[in-house]
Amino acid sequence: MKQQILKWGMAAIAAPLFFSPVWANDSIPSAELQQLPLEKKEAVSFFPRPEKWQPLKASFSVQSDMLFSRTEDDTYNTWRGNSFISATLRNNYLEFGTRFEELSAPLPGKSVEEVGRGIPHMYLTAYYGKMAEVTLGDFYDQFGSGTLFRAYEDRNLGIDNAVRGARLTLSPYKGITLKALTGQQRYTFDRTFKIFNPDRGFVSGTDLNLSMEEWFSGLSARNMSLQIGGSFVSKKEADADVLVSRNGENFRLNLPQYVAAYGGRLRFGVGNFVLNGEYSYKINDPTAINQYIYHPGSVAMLSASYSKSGMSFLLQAKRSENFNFLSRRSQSGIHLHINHLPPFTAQHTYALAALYPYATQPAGEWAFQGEFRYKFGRKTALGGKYGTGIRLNVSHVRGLKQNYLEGVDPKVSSSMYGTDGYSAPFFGMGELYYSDINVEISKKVSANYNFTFTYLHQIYNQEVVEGHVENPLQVNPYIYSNIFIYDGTYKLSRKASLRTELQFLATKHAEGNWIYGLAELSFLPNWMLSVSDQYNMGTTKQHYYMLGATYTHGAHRVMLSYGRTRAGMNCSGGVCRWMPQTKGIYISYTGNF
Amino acid sequence: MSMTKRAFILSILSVGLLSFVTSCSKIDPNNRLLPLEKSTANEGTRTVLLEDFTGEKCVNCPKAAKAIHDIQEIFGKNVVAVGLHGTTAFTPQGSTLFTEEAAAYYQRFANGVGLPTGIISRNVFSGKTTMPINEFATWSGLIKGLLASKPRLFSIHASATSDGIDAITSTVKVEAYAQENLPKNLMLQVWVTEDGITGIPQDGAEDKYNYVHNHVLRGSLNGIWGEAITLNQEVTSQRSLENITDIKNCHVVAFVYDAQTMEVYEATSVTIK
Repeated sequence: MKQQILKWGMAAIAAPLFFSPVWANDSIPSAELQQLPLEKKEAVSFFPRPEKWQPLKASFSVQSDMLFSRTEDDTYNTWRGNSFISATLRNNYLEFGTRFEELSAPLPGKSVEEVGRGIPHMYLTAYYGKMAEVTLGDFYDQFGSGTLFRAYEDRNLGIDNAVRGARLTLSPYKGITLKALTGQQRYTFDRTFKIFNPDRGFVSGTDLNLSMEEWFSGLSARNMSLQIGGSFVSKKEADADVLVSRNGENFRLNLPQYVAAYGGRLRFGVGNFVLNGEYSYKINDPTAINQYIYHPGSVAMLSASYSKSGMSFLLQAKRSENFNFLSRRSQSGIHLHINHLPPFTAQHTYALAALYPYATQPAGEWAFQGEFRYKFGRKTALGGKYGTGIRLNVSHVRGLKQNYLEGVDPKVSSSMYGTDGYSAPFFGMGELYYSDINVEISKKVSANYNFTFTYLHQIYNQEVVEGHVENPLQVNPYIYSNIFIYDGTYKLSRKASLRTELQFLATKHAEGNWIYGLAELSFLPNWMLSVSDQYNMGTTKQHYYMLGATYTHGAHRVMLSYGRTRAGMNCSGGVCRWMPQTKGIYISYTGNF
Repeated sequence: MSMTKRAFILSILSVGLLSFVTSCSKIDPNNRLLPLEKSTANEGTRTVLLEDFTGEKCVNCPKAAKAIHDIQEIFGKNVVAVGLHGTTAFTPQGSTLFTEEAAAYYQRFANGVGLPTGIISRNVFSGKTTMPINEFATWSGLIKGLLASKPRLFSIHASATSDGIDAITSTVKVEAYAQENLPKNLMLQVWVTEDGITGIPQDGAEDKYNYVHNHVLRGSLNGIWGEAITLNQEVTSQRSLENITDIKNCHVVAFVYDAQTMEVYEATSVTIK
């Protein structure tokens, strides 16, 4: 029963995942998507008989990351920390959840406005079988792939754009899911002791999913699936004084108080082949980031994938244009985003592969990604005794070709304000923003030893992503890098294993070459010891070393480490945040009760 | 009524409900710019100080610089803007733009705040708990409101000379402009700013490989926090600022502020002769 209730509770969130699984391909992971269990179809009564009220059960989770800073700045010799305690109480009809956050002296990287302590998240959800779910309070959700609406939390980046208000999910008939929601997004701790912040706007939306294969048996008989969906999202924001001077006269902008965006999506599957398409449109939405132009926004995505045992491929294309959707028009940075645009570039986890990560550009871009995976079978020429895996991933992102309208000069803000800004032919492309070609070979050599070797060639437009060029002597804004990564695991005994990483990044640009090494000794089931160093061989000659120990017991994990981290961009899913360098003793605990 | 019918009715009701809260306002292209009443700025309008905490390695700082350019177009001499490079994260200490003064102001007024951020006459505006305002596009509206709501209290008479290289001498006299309710405990701050400094390449410049920074704080002539003053007394300050690139592009900025609240009551900017 408990499992069933949990499934129902997650149904609303899991539905869009069914709808667009290709966006959630493992080459473009999303922390949140990975955490969500996918609901399996099963033959249960759609309208269950009223059930007996079950006892409420409580669960808790704790996450605390602490740093005793030894960085020689204003944090020197002080404890910093980000702590979260979540509590949930639920049974088969109700779920009540809340979260306490302690960020009054947060880890470096947060601004003064993000500092605080309190209970910013609280909700009550009522379920009625699979048919209805109503939430009052703070909630996360997304429509389709999130291009129109995505409320989510990413603690690493400090993002929490949960909506506070009401949400209704209905499944009135098999194959139909309808969502409706309205509320105000979270912005740090600006609603302490208040339900809403009267100075900020509200977001409302509705979403409909139709699964045709549920109605037409001919489709499922032919191993086909067809799903169609549509969303409508609107933000309401009060008028404001945005002044502009033009030809010696002064004006104020006539700002839209309601900005609407809508879109449709389609997913067609036949056998192992899946085709996904999505298109969204946004009406005039002048913001500080787009220099208050009234140009409409749009995003179009197309994806095809095929997979069978030992082989898969994925092809993706995306065109976005002025599709930054914020619930505060004057906002810049990572907060108050209503939507999320998938990055369509490989999301790397190795330190040097992620040294120059790409951030989705709000103004617009053309992005392409292709990925091919193949596994050479055992006892073949290339497979050897245990088989060999190969993965080729290519991504290429360019800006849009923009033809500025007469009288508009993008370098002069006042000439942009209140205009359409530019025209952009649909297939027109501008300068290169990012390119990544990477090959990964994974090989099990013996019963005790396996390794992965990765080569990457990246071109990174630092001026576009970071807004500046590191080295003024560079002839262009690009950082060209070749990266080589070895990752090998040697099984020392039944319980002990040693994992080593060796990485090298070669570039003539920015700070020059980097080298990275890591050794990680694991003793099952509890202990892991690690030592690593990242060294800049180019201009700074700095070491970024880390020595750590991790103890895991059941649902509890404690980590203690000492070292220093470099300043740089920290990215997740195409969203990036600049983090300062840190040094000191790090203590981290995560646990579930 | 069957369960299915109820569900359908509920669905229709919810969509209907949403139509109340989801609307859109498409603005006619000919109606996007609304005439602003002619500036009422006159001799009786105060001059505000806009402190722009900025950096060389900052994605949106060039956009904020453009917003300041617009603000100066709109408000003319009623706004004195100063660019402060005081965060090593965004303007490394080796950069010629970085000043210890700017670092001190950042630490006091905006510590930890992301850039760009602006402080307008060191006021804390409605809906805010701190002085810095990251949303640079709102600066013009806030200045408009401040000028309309706060009358001028003081007038500043300033002049400045130099040796033609890097030594600057300023003479400043603060007088009462309003007749009553004048605050006490006044402080005078005298800064030197410089225009036309080429920094590292930044996006958004006309010539992106020659990004030009304007009204950059080069240093203070009378200490980081200035000095206490009495009205109608001339104050002379002198200092050599070796980080100046071209003294012909420099200005002296003088402003008077409250020793307790830090609010800036009046500011002025004069060329150096």
